[in-house]
Amino acid sequence: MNARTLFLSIVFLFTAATLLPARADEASELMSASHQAYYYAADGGHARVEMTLVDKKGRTRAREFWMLRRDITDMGDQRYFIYFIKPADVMGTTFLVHKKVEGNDDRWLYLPSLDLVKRIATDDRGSSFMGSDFRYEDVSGRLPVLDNHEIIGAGQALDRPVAKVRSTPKDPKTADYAYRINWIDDATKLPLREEYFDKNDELFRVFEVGKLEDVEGIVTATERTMSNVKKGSRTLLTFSDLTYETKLEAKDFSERLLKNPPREYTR
Amino acid sequence: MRSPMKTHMRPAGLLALGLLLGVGLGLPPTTAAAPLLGGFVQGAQAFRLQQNEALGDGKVGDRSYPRSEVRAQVTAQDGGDMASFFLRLDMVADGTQGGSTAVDFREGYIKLYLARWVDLKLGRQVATWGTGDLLFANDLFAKDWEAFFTGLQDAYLKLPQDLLRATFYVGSVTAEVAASPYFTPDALPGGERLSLYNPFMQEIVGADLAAPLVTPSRTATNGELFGRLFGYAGSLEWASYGYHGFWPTPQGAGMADSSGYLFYPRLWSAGASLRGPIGPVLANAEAAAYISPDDEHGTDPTIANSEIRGFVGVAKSLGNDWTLGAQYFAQYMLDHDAYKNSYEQAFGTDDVPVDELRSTLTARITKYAMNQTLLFSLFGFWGVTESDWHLRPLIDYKISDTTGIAFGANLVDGDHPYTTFGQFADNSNMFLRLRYSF
Repeated sequence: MNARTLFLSIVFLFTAATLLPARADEASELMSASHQAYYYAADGGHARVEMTLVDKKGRTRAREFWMLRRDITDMGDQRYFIYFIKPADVMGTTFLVHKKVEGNDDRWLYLPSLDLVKRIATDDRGSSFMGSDFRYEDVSGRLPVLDNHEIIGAGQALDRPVAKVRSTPKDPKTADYAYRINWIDDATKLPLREEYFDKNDELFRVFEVGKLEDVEGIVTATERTMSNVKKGSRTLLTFSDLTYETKLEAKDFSERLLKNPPREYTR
Repeated sequence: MRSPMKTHMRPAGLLALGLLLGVGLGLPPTTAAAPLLGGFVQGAQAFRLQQNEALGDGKVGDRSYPRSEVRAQVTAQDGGDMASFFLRLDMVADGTQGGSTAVDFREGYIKLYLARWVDLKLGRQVATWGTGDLLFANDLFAKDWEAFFTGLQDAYLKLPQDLLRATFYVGSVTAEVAASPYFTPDALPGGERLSLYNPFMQEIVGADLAAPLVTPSRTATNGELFGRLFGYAGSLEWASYGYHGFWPTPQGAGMADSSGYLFYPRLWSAGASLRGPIGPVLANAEAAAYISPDDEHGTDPTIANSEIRGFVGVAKSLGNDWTLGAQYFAQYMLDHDAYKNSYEQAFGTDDVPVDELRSTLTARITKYAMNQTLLFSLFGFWGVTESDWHLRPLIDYKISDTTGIAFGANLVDGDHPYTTFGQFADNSNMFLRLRYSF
């Protein structure tokens, strides 16, 4: 080792030592900003969502629903409401979620043919969302504080510069992955890609944003895909009729809404 | 004699009124979009699993199948900001009724959004409240037990009623009142599809020997009134309920011209329920007092005594699309001694058919597979006191977004012919349904 490389090594070690805690803080802040941008844009809004499930043989199933969101506080509790349009046999069924940052969510399903408000037993955010490759946690968000984050470099996704962040669950029991790599858009902080690895270091799930659109001044991911690499299946979500205007207050997300969905959904 | 099919066929007057009101009041003429239309065509066939002597032992005929039908349902709905309408018709070609066809007018109502604090729902509709899973205490809306035991979807357990229903929103509390100008009893097996118990003959019979049912006349005082107060306390839901009307099943027995008939005594009810999470478990509790004003002190053995009924239940998601549920249901008869005494005087024995406390346990297990397109479900009732049981296994598979197939069974047995499930002991069946939705 010559003097020059020794010098560079010392400088590197010194810099790394001072930078690492800062990089960890920076990573946590970035992931918080990303969580805010992706799950808490504006104070809420609604969209018509087409969901296409593709199995490993290429067979497809189509779902379509309206999804309405209202935040109580940024990064805090939220209200979600879903009105099913397709498939035909569930048209008119509605779904209400009181998402809680602490504790289990409250969920209700309304079956109009029975006039039945059914409360759903939940404690499993890892379960599939409507039979798709997305899980409840992917739809309503996993708290950034549950993982340790580390910026591992820069890269590109969707032809945009991104920061690559490695997230490792603090408690392995809270997640089905050993770690994941997030591609966080420099400009919007939106996650443009996520790769999930299991404890054998094997990739098993990939999230990708296919399209960004400006909606009322807010850049929004309007095409999102979750692929299950091991099963060979994938689910595509396409958002349309997006708005961040919220006519409903958090208190309106009750049995009344389940039984009386916004009239524009039922026309 | 009463044909359950006919109970669906009430006059369409309320609907016509509703449509007129809807067109006149609310539906904006500028709405360019056509009404939302949907529906399905479904074939359903149920097969008996044993010979039923009461229905004609071994004979192949109309009664060979508890259900054998093709059903087409059409649903239409449209609405504006002030009002909306909903119409649902079933056209049924029924092989068990001698190949007859009928229109089952299931729902036809308008909703009026009168103010921020009140909605009206007027017309034929299905109504449900309470917290039980196939158990009912405060839900005294009409039910179709014949559909329930012969392989139709759970949605057909509810019998539509003609109701004026007003919902008031006062702060965080919801108050609901529903009224019907006449009483709609539960649809019970009538001896065509399923055999039933005749308490006068004390045996299981078919339609030809079924005891006649006498429903209350349609006078101003014979309507039904339902009420509910409802709210949230955090994750906990609370509700209280009231009812003024009649026992939904014929809990009265009378004699006319030396032959027996069954009738519906008056019933008043009040109760309450709670539902919410306890840790990872979803729990519910519900109770109701049933007051039988036609037999206030329980001294008339031919009319049901007052009783307290209620249940507690738990449900838990086990992950990986497995769900478990269990409930304990109790019915406690008031004035049981008076019932025993009067029964002994009337029939010469105090070996009464109804115990003071009757307990029933239920369990449910469900599992979804293949992207939640395949459902396995098993629901069981076990009458602990009455020594009877009922099992409902079901496999439901959605072959595609439009086509579904379901295969299941209604298994039922008991030690005595007069108990809740024991009376249907020879009616076990399995069924197949094929549905195309559009």
